[in-house]
Amino acid sequence: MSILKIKNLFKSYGKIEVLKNFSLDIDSTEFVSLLGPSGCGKTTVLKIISGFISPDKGTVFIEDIDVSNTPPEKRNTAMCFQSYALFPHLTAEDNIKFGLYEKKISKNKSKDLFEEAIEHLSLSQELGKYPNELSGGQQQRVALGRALVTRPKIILFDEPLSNLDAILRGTVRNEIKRIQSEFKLTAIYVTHDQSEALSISDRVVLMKEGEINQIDTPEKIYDNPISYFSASFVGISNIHHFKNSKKLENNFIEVDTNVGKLKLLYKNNLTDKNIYVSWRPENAEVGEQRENTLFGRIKSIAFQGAFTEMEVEIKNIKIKIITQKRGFKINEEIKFGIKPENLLFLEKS
Amino acid sequence: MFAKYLFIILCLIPGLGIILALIGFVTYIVIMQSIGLNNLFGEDEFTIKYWDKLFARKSYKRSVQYSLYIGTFSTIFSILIAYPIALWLRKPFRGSLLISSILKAPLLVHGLVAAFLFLNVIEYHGLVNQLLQYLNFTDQPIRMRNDRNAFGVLFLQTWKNMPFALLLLAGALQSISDDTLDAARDLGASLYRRFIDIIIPLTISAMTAAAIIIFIGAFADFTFQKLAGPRNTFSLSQLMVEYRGRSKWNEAATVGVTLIVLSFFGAVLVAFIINKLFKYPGWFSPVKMKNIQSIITGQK
Repeated sequence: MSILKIKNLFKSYGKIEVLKNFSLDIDSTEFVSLLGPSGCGKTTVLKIISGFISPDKGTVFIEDIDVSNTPPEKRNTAMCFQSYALFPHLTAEDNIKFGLYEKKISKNKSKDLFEEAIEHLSLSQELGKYPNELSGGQQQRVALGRALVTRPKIILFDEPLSNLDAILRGTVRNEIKRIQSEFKLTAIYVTHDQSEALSISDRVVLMKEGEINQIDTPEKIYDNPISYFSASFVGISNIHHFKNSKKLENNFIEVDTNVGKLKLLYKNNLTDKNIYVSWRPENAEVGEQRENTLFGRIKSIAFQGAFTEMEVEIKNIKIKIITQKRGFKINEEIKFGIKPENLLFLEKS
Repeated sequence: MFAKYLFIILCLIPGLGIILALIGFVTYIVIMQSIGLNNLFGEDEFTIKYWDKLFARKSYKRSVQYSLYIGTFSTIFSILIAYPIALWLRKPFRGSLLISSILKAPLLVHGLVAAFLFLNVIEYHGLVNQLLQYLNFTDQPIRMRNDRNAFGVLFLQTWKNMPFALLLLAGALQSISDDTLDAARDLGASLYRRFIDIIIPLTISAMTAAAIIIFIGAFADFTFQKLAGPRNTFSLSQLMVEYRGRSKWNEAATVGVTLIVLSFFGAVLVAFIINKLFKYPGWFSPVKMKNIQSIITGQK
């Protein structure tokens, strides 16, 4: 059942259209990420849901109640800010209890909610400390505790990991997912980091220029990008423009690309919108001589431990290949193949 | 370790050392003269007779009361006027820089010049009286200069000190991030609670600094009092200058010590009151009120 329904949101700042007819339904206890580059409107959506920004047009329903004109303090949502936004004059304990006081929750219930939050977030050692005495990870946990202690219907995350270092980011990300699942919260998570969105979400909403480009599960977004934008923004893709297409037997289609002829398996009808073919670098089968065999020269090699990433030049076009094989040299000729089912048609945007 | 401390002390001497030496020397001389020692003229003799004489004088008590009155109300008025303006100017808008600059203009005008300008405005035949007569509000000019309640002095002190309070408070308010206020709102805090529980506590340091500096300045005021203050009451500074004019250095020193001591304790009291009233959860905070209510009613 949908807990949040966003219908036809429009928002402009002066002449800049930030949201263009944005609609989205989110189910209860679902973890949804809004993913996109800076300025695509994802934070604006979050702020409209929380009530800090009013849309020019459109409505927001929480549990089927229109909250479009409800002020933030009366909406049952809670936000985790990018800057944590902890109150610097209050201890971690008072920060967490702030919402309980403001929402006038009874003393006994407050005590239970507070203790439960502290236990889940392992914050008992930090309660007496002020925000400036806490590490980034601890501040994030206090912010999380403060947001979830009042049991909001929806918890909103605005790039909560962007101020943390790489190691801590992974730990806190797992903690957020664990807490969301333990408290059975509905979460909306804004990020421009595709690995964050893919690893934490039940569904990813990929946004571009105020519109939804693609909505799907992380696996499907990665495996079946529908557009040039989604293929290039989520993960790494080799994308080739094609000119002519020729239908072959058994749903195969052959296309002319700038790296040569490629054969694809395509189940749906090819439309005019499909002007690119793409494939993931890890789908290159180095040394295998099969369909879609390409020849190129290695231009750079980056050994990454578990795999090797290479840049290969074919007819002056540079493509990327990821393989688990080793022992390559710069300027060495290389041969590799791509299975037709690993090639995809893409729309322009 | 000793070498390290010696090095730190040597580094501090050129700056802090000179300041402390000057303050210490002046304070020492004033205190000593108030008890009959280190006299400029005559023999040194330890005595408390100057204090006895001073405490016996009604004019001294009146001066203490008057200076405290001017110091306290100038501080309150300056901050009460500066705070809403600083809140209004917290977020930049078209013209806010100009407004802010105009409001801070009194900081650039010397107190003596300001007092003379003000006299022209409130003089018996000054602009205000002319306007009141022109508008038929009064037949005769009203006496506004040197009024008994020192409203003129309070006005001048507020006019002069409000921009200073504004400067400090605006800085403190502008440093509160929108995210912090949004977070409070998101957690259910109304406008009033955001003001009482977040904005005010986060500006306590600036408010305390402004209040202490304004209080000490207004408490020890001489210029405004001399030009626009009541004729029948002296401020402590005026009293001190009066004694010095009559070459009563020891009496002047006792008034000086009074000024130093009351300025110090006044500043401590101002800081204490501001902290007690406004530190989270301050006396105006609903959190505090709820606690008080539960104590009164015995509810848990």
